Amino acid sequence: MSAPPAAPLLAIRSLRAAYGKIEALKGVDLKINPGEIVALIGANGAGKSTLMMTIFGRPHARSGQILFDGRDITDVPTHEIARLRIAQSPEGRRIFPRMSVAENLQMGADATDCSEAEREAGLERVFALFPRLKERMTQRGGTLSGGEQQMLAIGRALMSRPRLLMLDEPSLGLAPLIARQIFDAIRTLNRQDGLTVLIVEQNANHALRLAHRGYVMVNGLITLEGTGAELLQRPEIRAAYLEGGRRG
Amino acid sequence: MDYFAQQLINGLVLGSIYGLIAIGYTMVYGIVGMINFAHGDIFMIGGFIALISFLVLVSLGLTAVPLILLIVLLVSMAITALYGWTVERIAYRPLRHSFRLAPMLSAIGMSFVLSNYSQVAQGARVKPVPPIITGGYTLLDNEGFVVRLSNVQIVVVITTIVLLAIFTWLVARTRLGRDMRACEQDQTMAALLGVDVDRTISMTFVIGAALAAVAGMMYLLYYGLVDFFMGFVAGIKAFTAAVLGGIGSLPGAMLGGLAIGLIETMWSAYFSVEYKDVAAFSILIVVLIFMPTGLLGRPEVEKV
Repeated sequence: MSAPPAAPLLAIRSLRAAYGKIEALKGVDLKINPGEIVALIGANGAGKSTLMMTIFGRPHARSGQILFDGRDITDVPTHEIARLRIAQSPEGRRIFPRMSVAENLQMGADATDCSEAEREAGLERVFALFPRLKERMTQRGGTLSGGEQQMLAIGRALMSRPRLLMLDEPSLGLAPLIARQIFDAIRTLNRQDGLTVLIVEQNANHALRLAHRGYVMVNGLITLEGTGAELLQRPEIRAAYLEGGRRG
Repeated sequence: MDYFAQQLINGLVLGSIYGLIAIGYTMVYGIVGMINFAHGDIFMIGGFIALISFLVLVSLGLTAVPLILLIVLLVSMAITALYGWTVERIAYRPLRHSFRLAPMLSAIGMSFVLSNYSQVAQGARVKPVPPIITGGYTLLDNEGFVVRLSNVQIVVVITTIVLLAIFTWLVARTRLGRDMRACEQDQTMAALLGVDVDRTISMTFVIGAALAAVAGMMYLLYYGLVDFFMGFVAGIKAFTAAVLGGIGSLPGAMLGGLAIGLIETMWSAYFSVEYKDVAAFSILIVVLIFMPTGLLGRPEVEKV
């Protein structure tokens, strides 16, 4: 890492959010510095995906504050948040099934009104990471395999030239080889372009190895934070997220 | 054969009008999942605005028919689009996150509001206009039986084709069209990608209303009359066309429109005029029994 970052790119303060009466976030504090990869780990239903969506105002925060680059975005409408160059590859990938791969990527480019040259450069970058997408450009999104859809969801997010990239379970349901390919791609983007990444993962081992820092979320609250290496050593993390299956 | 050819021409013209209205139903259904029951009345409003702007232009002393028609077309598209936008804004948007039936009930209410408003503002009598486009071509003259293609029919069909071409290009190639399709497929994701969903939905209503206005004007030209109640039957027919073609499918709406137009015309020609509506709706039922998603519709279940 280069010079110590002055101000966090994203700062979340005592954020609360709910779906109807069910409170999903119960006062979350989190920050992401520019150029960092931050991992968010936790069990199913802990509120990880909700946190990512709440940053985009869906659901809207009940209380608390979300600051992006020093600006309060808590009440900014969802579509304007995308224009600030925050991109998300959401839970379930959510690619547009009846649009071609090219159009899906174009939707990403549209998010930030980039120039023709920037769009071309973006496509080059996506194709360099996921050459498979180049072969599939005219194919409809819904006909891609799961791994290809994941690549497309990440590629689409990258097309908006994000300052903050949020990835929700990029390795879910993927063959280990493809999962590794995706993690490698994220690392490359971070090292080469200084891209700031927030990654939610079930695969805590992979995520914490990749990340500079990590947060552990339990029942809508952050219970632990630390560097990736620190968290990997914590016995409670090892028991709950890394070896839980084996110890049972 | 000559008789059939003549009915084919008539059916295609009627079908073009239905198709233009049906697109509005199917677009709105695709993007917000509701049936806009006020759409037939938007078509009626379009007919009235075409009539009024026609009379205004004539009283201003304009005589060049093509110029008049062009101005009438643009004016009625613009003003009717404004109606479409307003209806969505005041009657549907506030209910968007309410229970599913709420916007539909509101749409039925808007349908009454629009037709009663026209009745009050314009009177209940049928408003005739003298034929604006006259003349035509005799395609066949077989011992007194004449197959005629009138200039009005040519205008209706060509206008429909041109508008459909523009519309298809808009949906397939432009940013607005892409945004509309994105909203249709996944509104939340569209918003995450910077699409202003409310604005895109508004535009859908605007475009649907503009096409309905064209249909209204074509109806005025073709039948030479408008009345405040004409939106009801035409709306139901166009809705049937949209369902027949597969609700949510744009080519389906046009195909359904043509099918309904042809069925109605052929039934009137060979069986009885009184039962033409029964014929159209019966075919709908038969098609839906064997193809529940319509001719070009897709099943609801998506492969994930």
